[in-house]
Amino acid sequence: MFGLRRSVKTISPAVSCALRVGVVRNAVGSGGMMLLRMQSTTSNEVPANKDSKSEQYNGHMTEKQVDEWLQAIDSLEAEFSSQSILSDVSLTPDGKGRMNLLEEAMKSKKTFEPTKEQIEEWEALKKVPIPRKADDVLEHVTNMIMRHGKKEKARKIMSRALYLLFCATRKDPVEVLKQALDDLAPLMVVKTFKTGVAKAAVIPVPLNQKQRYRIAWTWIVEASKKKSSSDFAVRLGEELIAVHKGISSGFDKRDSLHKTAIAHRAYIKLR
Amino acid sequence: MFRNQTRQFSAVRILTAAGKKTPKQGFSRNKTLNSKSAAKKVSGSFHKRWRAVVSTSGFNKTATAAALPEFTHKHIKNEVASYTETQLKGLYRLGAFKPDQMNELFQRPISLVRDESTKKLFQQIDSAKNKKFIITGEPGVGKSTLLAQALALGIDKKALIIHLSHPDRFLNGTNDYYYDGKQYVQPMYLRDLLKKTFHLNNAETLKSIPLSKEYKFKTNNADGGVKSITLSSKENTLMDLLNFTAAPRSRAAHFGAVIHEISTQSLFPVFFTVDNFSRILTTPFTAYKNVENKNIHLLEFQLGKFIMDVVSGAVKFRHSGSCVLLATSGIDRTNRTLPIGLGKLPHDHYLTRYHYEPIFAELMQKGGVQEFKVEKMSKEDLKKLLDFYIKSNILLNKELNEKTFDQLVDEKYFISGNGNPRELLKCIALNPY
Repeated sequence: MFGLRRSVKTISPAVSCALRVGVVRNAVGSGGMMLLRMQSTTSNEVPANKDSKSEQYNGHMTEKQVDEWLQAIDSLEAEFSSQSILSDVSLTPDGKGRMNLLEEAMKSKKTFEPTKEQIEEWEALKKVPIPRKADDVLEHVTNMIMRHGKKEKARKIMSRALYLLFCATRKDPVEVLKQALDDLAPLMVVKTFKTGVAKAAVIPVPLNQKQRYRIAWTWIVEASKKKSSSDFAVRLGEELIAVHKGISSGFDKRDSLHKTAIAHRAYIKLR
Repeated sequence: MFRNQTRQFSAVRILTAAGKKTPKQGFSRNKTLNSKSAAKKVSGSFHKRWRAVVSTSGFNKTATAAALPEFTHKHIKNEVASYTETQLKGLYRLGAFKPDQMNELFQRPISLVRDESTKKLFQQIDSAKNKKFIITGEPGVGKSTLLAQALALGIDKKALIIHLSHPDRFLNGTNDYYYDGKQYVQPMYLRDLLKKTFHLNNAETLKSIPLSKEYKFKTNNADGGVKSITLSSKENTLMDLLNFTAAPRSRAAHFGAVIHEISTQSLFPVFFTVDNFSRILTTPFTAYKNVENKNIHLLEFQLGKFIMDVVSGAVKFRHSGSCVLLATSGIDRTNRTLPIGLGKLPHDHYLTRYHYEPIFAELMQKGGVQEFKVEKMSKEDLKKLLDFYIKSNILLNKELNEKTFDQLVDEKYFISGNGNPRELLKCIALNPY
C-alpha cells in the first residue's frame, strides 16, 4: 500500500495534473481557457491559473514522463484489482493521508466573474422582453388541423391559407385571423345537467378564450368543407375571407347558440 | 323583344303547349326562350389548386402601390425596378412571368436589376461575338427573371422575338401531330406560337420587313372550304406572312417560311429565347409515339429540329445583334448532357441516354453555347429588395415591431440560404409562424 501510494506521489507534476483534470471535472481556468458566455457579444479570457503544476505542464511530455505515468497507472490498476477501489486513499497527493476528492473539487471550483462590459450588456438586455417562440392562437389552430402528427403539413396548409387571406385583405393575416376568430366565437354554450327529477336543466356556461376559439375554428373548418376547391388550403383561405367579410355560415350558428343561452338565462346560478 | 315574339310562333312552342313531347335531336344544347343562357355561378377562381388560385385571381389589384423606377437598358442601375407598359404587354404575351414568382403580392411584376447578373449579361449580349448563352444557377435564384429582363431589352430594341416559355407544352404529348413524310409537325402548337409571335412583335417592325420570295399556302374558309393564298415578294411583308392561319396540313410550310424570313432578314436583331431548356436537354425523347409505338425523338419534330438548329448554329440570324438565350429550370431533373455540352465534363460512351444525350451535347458544343451563371444575391441587394418589401407592406407586423432593419436583413439573409430571392420571398410571405 505504501509503495503504491509512493508511486502515486512520485508521479511527475504533469501526470498528476492530468489526473486531476481527469478526475476532477473542474477544468475551468486550469489551462488558461477562453471562456465564452453563451450568446454574449463580449468575451473575457480567464487568466491562467498560477498553479506551479499547470505551468510545468505545457501540453508536451517527455518520454520519461510518459513512462512514469504508465508505470503509475499500472500500479494503480494492480491495487484496484487486488482490493476494492479506495479513491480517498489511493489518489491523494503528497503529504495527505486521506481526502475526499469530490469535496476538494467543489472547493477548488472557480466562480464565473463577468467583465464590466458583460455586466453592462446584461443590464441593457434586462429590459428587452424575451420574444415568444410561437403565437399561441396560431399554434392552437394549426394543431387542430393536424392529422396523424404531421405538423409540417398542417403548417404548410395554414401558411397557404393565410397567404390567400393576406392577398384578399392586404392586412396582417395573423391579426385578421385572430379578429375573425374573436368575431365568430360564441361567448357561452348551453350544457344539459341531470337534475335527478324528470326535467333536465339546460344551463348557459361561459367559455374561456381557448374554448371559444376552438368552437369558432371547428365551425370554420366545417364550413370550408363545402367549398369547391380540391385544395384544403384554398378552401380554408376562402372561408377565412368569408369570416373576415362577415358572411360565414358560422355566424348563424353563433347567433342561435346565443339565442338559446339567452332563453335559458334564468337557470344561471349566481352564487 | 321582337325576336321573342316571333319565336313564340314556332312549331315547337305550339306542340309543347299542346302537351306533346318533341323528340330530342342530336346533342346540341336546348335553346331557352332567351338567346342568352344564364351565366354559371362560379365564385372567382377559387375552385382551382392553391398555386393557380393565387396567380389567377387578380390579387395584384388590391396590392399596395410602391413607386418604382422603370426598367431601361440605357441606364442600368442596381435597384428594384418595374417594367414599362410596352415591356409588360410583351412580357405577359410571351409568358415570361411564372406562377411561382409570387407576382400577385405587388401591383406589377417587379425585378431586381443586379450588376452581377443583369448588367453583365447585357454587356455580353452587346459585346460577345458568339451570342449564345445558357443561363444556369440554383433553383429560385432568378434565371427566369433575368430572361424576362433580357426579353424586355429585346422589346426595347424592337427586336424580333421568338420565345418558348414552356418546352413541356410541345414535349408532353398533349398536342395533335402528324408526319408529313420528312418530319413530325404539331399544327395547333405552331398556330399558337405563330399567333404569339405576330401579336408580340411591333407591327411597324413586321411591316418594314419585305418577303424574300413568293409563297403559296392553303387556308380554311369560314364555310369549311379551302382557299389558297399567294404572297409575293414585292407587295407583301412579314406582317402579311404572320397575319393568317394556314390550313393544318400546310402549317409546316407556313412555319418554315416564317423561320426562313426571320433568319434571312438583316434589318432587325432576333432574340431567340427558350426558358426551361433543361427540360429539352434531359428528355430528348418526347411523349409522342410513332407508328411502332416508340417515343419520337425531339429532332424528328419540325419545331425541335429548328430549336436545335439555332442552338448549333445551323440556322443563323443575319443581323449581328441577334442572340440566343436559353435558361435552365430548377423543376427539371438534371443529367450530364448540359455539363458535357458546355465542355465541363468529357464525353462518355458508356452513359445511357437517360443520363446523357450525346446528340444534344454535340450540337451545343458545335454552337459554342456559353454558360452564364446567376449567383445568389449579396447582402446589399437583399437590403434593397427587403426595403421594397417593407414599403409594399408584405411583412408581418410582428417582425416589423420586434426587429430593427439591420436585424431583419441579417435574419432574412440567413434564412434565405445566403441570398436566394425566391427563398427570401417565401420566408417573408409564406411564413406566419
